[in-house]
Amino acid sequence: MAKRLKGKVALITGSSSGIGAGVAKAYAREGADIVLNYPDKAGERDIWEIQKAIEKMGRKALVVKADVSDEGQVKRMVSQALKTFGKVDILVNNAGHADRGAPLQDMSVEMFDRMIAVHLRGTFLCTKYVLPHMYKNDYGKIINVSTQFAFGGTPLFTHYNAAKAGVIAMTHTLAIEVGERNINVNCVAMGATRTPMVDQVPPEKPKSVLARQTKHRFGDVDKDIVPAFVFLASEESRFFVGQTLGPNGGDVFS
Amino acid sequence: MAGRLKGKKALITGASSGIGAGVAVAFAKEGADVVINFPNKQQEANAKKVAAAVRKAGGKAYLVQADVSKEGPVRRLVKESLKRLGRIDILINNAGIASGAPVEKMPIAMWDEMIGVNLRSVFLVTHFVLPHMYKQGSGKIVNNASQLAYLGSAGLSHYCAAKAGIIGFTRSLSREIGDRNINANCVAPGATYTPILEAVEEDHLKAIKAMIPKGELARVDQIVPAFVYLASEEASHMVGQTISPNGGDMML
Repeated sequence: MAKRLKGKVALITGSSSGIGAGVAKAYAREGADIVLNYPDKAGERDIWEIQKAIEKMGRKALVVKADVSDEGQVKRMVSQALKTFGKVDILVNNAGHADRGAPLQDMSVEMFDRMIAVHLRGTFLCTKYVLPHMYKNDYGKIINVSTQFAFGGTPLFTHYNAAKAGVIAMTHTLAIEVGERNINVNCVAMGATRTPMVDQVPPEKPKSVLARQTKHRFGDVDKDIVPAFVFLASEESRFFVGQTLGPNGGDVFS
Repeated sequence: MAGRLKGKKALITGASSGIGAGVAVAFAKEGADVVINFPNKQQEANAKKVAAAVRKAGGKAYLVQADVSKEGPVRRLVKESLKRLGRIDILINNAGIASGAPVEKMPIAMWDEMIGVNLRSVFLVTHFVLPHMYKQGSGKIVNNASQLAYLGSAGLSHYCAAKAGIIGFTRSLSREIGDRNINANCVAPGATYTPILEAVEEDHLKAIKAMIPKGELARVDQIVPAFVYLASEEASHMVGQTISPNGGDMML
């Protein structure tokens, strides 16, 4: 059987760990060359490991350090990607972080601003600089990352959930703007997944999440979550437009 | 890469035309054997054509005629499928019909037939297949709903009610299945070029297209991959979900 992303180039933000890293490796396995992105020193060691793994599969991997909330850095990242590979076929706006959260009245303004900047502004910025090239090639797959909490809410995370609901609304709107072009914009809103990000949130929260979830387990990055990203990046999802897929083990039904 | 459904056995209702036929052939390409269910004598020739396409794609194909709105025939369909396939790994509840009338003019028989074929059938076939999936400890159930479950459509109150019913059914079924290794999900396609659409007038089709961001109706081959995805191991964490290949007509 043919590889599902053969000859494609994918830019995946926040790919030094968690879902981003899993998506990068899966895309490479399906035949794509990859632009890996990480935000700061902390992700440096991991990202080289991922690059090595991708090169072992016979694919190319360009590593670009960039904070996706910073316009200048995003601009530079996209131009580096284009210089190296000549195109970006697939953009996965995955970069994100979690913190311990806080009740709204106690949430520092910096905490709120930072969350919106990385998750929502970052998605806007990367898309803004990649989209013109997709228009020129009349080809593209944009996959945004949201969360089921964009629908259900969860205490202490007004900033995170607002950013992620914003990502879904942006997906809808951009899908309409893209219109009949051969470009698809969709979203993945996963449930609680075993990633380094989950380890940062208070331990009682994931437990309460799993109690109401049908499968009673965290999603496994590679087995449970990543395949939705492969599906949306492939030609199989040509008629998926502005949709949000929810691999969440049966929590929020959408 | 190996087929994504290698060695799997699938029962597909209403597989003699349209999306069901497309799913049967796609599943065969991915390595599955299939039972092609069709409703009546008139559909037999079509069903045979689908079977030939399945075999050409490398799968085994078995034909079973059954009106899936009736208990006796469904019982027979499931029994026959198990006899032919040995097991049922994948159940695609796809059978459906189209008709239409405003509520006040809709004959009761039209309503009953629609609910029977499009909703009761999903219950019946699942009712008889599920115990076998429970016993074997694995299974994928994919139900064919419609975006009209959300949008509604004048003259199609019966169709929309049935399709919304399928989504509610799938969510409840998912809760009952719980943490067993069985997944139940839905595909809710937008307007697709199938025989069901043939009754729709050209002007109405144009109006439908104008509403869709992609500016076009789906072809069956643009819908079918959603079924392959949900039937495969790739969708193991998709539970009670409805995914919508609809060209952007309805965004969820």
